[in-house]
Amino acid sequence: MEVFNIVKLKLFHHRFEGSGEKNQPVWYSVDIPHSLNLPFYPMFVNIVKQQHGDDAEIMLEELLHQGSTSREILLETCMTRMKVSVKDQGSVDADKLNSVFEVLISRSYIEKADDLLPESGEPPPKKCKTTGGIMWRVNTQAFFNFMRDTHIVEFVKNRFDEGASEVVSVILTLNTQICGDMSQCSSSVTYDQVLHGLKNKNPDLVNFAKSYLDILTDSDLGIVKLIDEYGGGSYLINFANFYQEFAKHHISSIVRERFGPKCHRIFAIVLARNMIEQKQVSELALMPYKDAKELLYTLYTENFLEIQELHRTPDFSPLRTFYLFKVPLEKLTLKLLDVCYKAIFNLMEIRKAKLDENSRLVDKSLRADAAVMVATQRGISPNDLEDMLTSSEKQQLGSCMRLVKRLDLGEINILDSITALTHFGTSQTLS
Amino acid sequence: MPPRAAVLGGNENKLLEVLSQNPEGCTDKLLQQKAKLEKSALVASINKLLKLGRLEIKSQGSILIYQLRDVKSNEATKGMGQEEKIVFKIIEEAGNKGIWVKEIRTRSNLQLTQLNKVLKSLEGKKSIRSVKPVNDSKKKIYMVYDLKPDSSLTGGAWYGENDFETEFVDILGRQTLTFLQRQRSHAEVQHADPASAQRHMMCDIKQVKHFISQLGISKVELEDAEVKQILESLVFDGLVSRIHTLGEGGKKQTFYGAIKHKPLTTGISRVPCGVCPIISQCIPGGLVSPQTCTYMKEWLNF
Repeated sequence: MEVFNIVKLKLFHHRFEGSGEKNQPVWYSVDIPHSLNLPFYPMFVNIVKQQHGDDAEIMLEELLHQGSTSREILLETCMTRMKVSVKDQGSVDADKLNSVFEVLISRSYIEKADDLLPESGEPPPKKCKTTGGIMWRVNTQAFFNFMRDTHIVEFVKNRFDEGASEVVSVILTLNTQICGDMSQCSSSVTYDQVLHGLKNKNPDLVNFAKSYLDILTDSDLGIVKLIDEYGGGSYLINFANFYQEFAKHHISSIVRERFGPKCHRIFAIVLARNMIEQKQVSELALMPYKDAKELLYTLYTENFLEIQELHRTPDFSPLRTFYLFKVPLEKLTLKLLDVCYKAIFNLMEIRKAKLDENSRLVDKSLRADAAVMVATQRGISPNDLEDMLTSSEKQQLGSCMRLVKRLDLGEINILDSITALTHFGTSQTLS
Repeated sequence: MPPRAAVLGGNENKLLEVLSQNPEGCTDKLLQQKAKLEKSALVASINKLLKLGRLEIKSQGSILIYQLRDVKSNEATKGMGQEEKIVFKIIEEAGNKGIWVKEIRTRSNLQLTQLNKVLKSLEGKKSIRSVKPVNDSKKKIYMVYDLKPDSSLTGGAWYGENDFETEFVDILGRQTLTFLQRQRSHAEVQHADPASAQRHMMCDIKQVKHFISQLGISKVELEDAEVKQILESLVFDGLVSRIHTLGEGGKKQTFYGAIKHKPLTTGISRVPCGVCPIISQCIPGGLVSPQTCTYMKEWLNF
């Protein structure tokens, strides 16, 4: 029964997919890419909270909990949850919730779950017993696109300056593409549109818009492209180039932190030159020949570099063969993605262990908070209540929460790497 | 009693004068024509000068030419035996790139023991010296004593006594970066327009070379290629950017400028698991596990 309930829950969350004919055994398979989005849910909720407030946060949380549901059921669940936390039961505004729902649809954060509708002739599923029978679910691609845009702006700001990042932000805002599309480039915007956008956002930069666009298009990063010179110019953002640079940036950071700055220099040389001999690496690296050789082979041993053999003669003699080093970017991305997911799992394990270790204190703290809330609702001042936690318990709890917060921050950092590496892999597949 | 210095006659002096005017060498016909000597007198003078070592014969295909020999090299080979002269000549021809023992043996056709004796004797007379190239310390390269070895042997300005001067290179790199960062700050303050600021902050190799020479850190004058090596190393470190433009006459020019922000530590490299060398062995409950990981404990308690 427990297994059945878990499978039922997973089906509603699209984690499992079932297939089979009537009176035949049903086969289930796991939707891995969908399942791997789970660690991103807190980030999605945070994005919606920052943009549209607490009501939107609650709505998205509920929809994520339920997987997919109808509008009416979602609004009803949200109202029930909000009524629990407010003193006056009449103050939960149904119209406001409706408008928040509409806003989330217009931003494409919520989409219709058309593939969940029953085939014609069959009765609708229990959860669909409403008018229209339209099921809604969270559109994860919209959130990934938002995160992508944020990363692009941050990347340009670190590489150039704030002005350049503002110009790129305007181009991204004007991007009119449908959120579900995993396209390689944004839609093109004209110079006049950029000027107009900057006038509204940051009028001081209007005079320098052309200069910033020239700097961005001349840069070897290739993120901003000039596609047409007619009428001042048309510009677009090349997402594929950005994903490549972003992934290289993350991988280089890993090499620098793990092996040191000298090794990072050697890795950068091989990455820039694509295929290069050992002797050439040591000349460019500006370090003793022996050190350069040792670091090069350290990277090779750890699978950050590969060797390509080029035979000069048909006898494949090692003396007459070129051994060229290169960075296997696609393989390395997959390997590091494995490490990222393992790291997230490790952090989750440690957090679970810490919370289990201090479960008594955490429960006590929750009971204390609930008591304060009830007292406040009854008009009693929280200061009049007896302190349920001793000072040493508070200290211990504070230390535990500090560790949990650090683990959460670590998880967010890892999710940035996962985004960079996953999108690079996807863009390579599409190209 | 010291030996008398050889006395050169008028014919010999005439020949020497003609040869000094033709450093590339003369055939015997040209010599006869210019020195205005009869054949027999010419032959006698040539033989005398050859014995004194003032002349040497070289072949250009099937033609023999006579060339004036450097007095210094004459003095250098003074007192040398025949074998020593042959070996010294082979080493002299190699110039500042030097020549290794196997190559000398092939060209001189001497036995190894004999050759080693000759080389030891020449080294004792300070006519030649051995140099160990930086890339292959097992080889011994011989060259004329006073010659400065080529940079491919010594490694250039970065090597001192066959050791790479890491500290010197690091100091030069840091000072160059500071110079480029200062250029950037000045350009940003003086030019509000970002494109104009970028044009003024980017420096070419000559400007950086001038700055380094003014510093006075380097004992030797650095070549353009060596300054370029420093700048390229900063580019690979992610601290400096590089742009190529077309200069005067369509010639490609390269300019370097400091990047505003240093490369940040991002993503998983901020977490111990991202830089752990044994992450592949890590499983819960195993010998290496997240719960017992020392790196994780240090990170959480930091």
